[in-house]
Amino acid sequence: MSPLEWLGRTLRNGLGGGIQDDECFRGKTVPGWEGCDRDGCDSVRLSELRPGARVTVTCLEEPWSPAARKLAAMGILPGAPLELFQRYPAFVFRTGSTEFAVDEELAAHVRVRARA
Amino acid sequence: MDHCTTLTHDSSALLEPDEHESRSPRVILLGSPNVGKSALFNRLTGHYVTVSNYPGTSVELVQGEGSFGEVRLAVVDTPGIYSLLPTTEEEAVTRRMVLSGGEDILVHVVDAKALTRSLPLTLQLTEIGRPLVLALNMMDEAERAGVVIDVGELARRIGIPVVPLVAVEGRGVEELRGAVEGALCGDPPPKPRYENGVGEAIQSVQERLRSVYPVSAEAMASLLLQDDPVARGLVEREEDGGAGAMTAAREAGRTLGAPPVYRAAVERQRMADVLTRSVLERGESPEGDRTARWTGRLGRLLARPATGIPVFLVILYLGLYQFVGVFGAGTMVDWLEGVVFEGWLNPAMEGFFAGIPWESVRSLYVGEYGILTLGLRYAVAIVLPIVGAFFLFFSVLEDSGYFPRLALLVDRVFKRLGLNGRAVIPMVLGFACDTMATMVTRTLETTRERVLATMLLALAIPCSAQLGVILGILGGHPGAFTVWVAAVAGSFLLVGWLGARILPGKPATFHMELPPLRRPRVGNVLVKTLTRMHWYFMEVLPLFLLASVLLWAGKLTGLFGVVIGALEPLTRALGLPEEAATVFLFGFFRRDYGAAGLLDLTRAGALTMTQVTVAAVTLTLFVPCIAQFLIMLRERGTRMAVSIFAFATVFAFGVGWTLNRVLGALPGLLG
Repeated sequence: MSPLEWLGRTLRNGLGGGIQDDECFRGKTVPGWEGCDRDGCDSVRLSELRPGARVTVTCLEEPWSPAARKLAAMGILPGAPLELFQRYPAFVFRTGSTEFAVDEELAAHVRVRARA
Repeated sequence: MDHCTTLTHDSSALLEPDEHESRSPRVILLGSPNVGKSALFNRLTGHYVTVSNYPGTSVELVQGEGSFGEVRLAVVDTPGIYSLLPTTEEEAVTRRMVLSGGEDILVHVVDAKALTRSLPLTLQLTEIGRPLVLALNMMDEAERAGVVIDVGELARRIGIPVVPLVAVEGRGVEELRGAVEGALCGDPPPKPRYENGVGEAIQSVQERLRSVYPVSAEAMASLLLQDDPVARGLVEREEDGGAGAMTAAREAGRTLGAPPVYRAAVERQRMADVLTRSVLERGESPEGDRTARWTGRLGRLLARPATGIPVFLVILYLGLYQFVGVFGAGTMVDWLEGVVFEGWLNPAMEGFFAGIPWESVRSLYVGEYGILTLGLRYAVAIVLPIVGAFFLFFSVLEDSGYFPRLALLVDRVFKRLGLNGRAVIPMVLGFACDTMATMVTRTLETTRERVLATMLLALAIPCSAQLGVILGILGGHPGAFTVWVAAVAGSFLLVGWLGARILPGKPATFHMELPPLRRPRVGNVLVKTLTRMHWYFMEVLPLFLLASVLLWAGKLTGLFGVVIGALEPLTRALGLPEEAATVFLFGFFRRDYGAAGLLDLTRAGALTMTQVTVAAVTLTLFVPCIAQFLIMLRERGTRMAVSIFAFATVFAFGVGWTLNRVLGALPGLLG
């Protein structure tokens, strides 16, 4: 990313913009589990999305951790559809026909990509 | 009990003798929170159990008995779980139950609208090897949302009976009884066929399991692969101590390239998706019906701080202040005290006891601290209406599905106090009865949270009995009331924040399901309220009567005087008259006694406004009542309970002393 692009993105994030759905998904394949540990993973964290985003879960970070376990128990698994409603004071989203609320730490463990 | 469920393994080898004894089969209700398990339990057993839609109420496993055709069986209601691999203590309890061996029949209760989310657990349950029945509850809501399910096809594909229900109305319950009775003589369900390497992984572990277990070997292998702690404990019974199986599990993990837990979960979800697609004739319309849209919008409003907080304050005002305070503590109490007791019961009782010559016996029952004239009167005329009103208010909020929204609003604040949003439930319940709330702290995930919550409950949450009387004292004086609120709220935040810094550790992460908002159902609300009141009557009131006896004995033996003597210098340091020492002593036995004693002093004109405020604040922060202290001993252990007790005493008097100085320096503050 060029310095100018980086600056633009930082400003947008700083102003609470979050990452656009279409931004980093162009043409890349969905990573497998390993993708979350690899640099250059092109799916974004749930915690970086803006309200209104409709995405699909690609993987969970730190899959061996209790955080990831809780998420999996709620049905947040690769392939699950997600719609984000709000970020503050907690992340509220719907998956399937159920609504959940999680805090930022949990949301950061979920990697998603835009729905095709 | 003789029945025809034949299990393919002989459990005698490894179970304790009494476990193997044909313990009568039980019907175990399982499912995620908010699916109506408790409503179904009510229908099956005719018993009342608290119906809730958030974690924290059905903490104890509730058991009843129901008829299933010709047979009477025990029915057990469990706390909500999302999967068999739990993350909370309630889920662990449920799991241990299911895996305990015995000839139980599992009933998986699900929300018919959420098939694709629910079936993974159904599939996991089929692995156990016990007869399983799938109960599709809330069919009425599904119909309204336009969902149509081919029940027969679903039953055929999974290989278990599937019963559509509307538990709250009782529809389908008879069919469920029949299905359970049939399951007694049926075969265990077919196991799910995992693909994508998971099946092979399970196979490889299963080959290393030689012993017999309370569940099928395949289920053990599957659980072991998914790091289930109970399974790991059980597998140590193997000849090699489980080494072979554990190695196989580790190998499998490497082959799968990801924690088997997830591969298996993904597989189950995949299978569930396939199943759902094949039986869903019509899915939920994307917008839902109009009601769903409205409640969705309202739910969203409640979850955002800008709208949620004002709504919360309005609810507090209408519910707590108006309904509990003015109606409960005012109207109801006045009627019960004035008309029923003072007008009729007390004279009758005193007359009855007048015939007894022994003064001490008379005073035990109808004297100043008499069991009947004071103990019973306080319990029935003062505490019960206030607590009852609060429980009613609480149950209405609970049934509507409001609490998860409140939890998410306060999560960030609570994180500063070392807790998270989930702690909002015991905290709010504390305003009804701290004793009950202390029990509910069990549902918090980490010990650290439980300790912090217990301390805050002991220190800064006034229970409704106390609250009602204090509102009565400070009601007409907005200045004093504000100071009281500020002092108590400030203490709450300060002690919470300090506690979080002192106790090492991080709070658990916050996650909570947000059930759809519903109009509270009268039946549910009444059941919840009556259940709680029943609990209160049985658990707390006897302790109040005991407190009266202790006070009577204390007075008689002069022990009373000794303790008062010790307290007097403390009360004087707060700028209060000596009579106030009695108030604090009472406050330990029963918080409302203390507050009522303060009320008497105020009415008698013995205190200045400053003194009233100081006394009210100190009393509120002062130690928990005897009932709460006993629960603290049980839940947190002796050392912790005593430490909290000591801290609360020191802190309360410290704040009282400081407040006295501050108010003395700024007389205008009280207005």
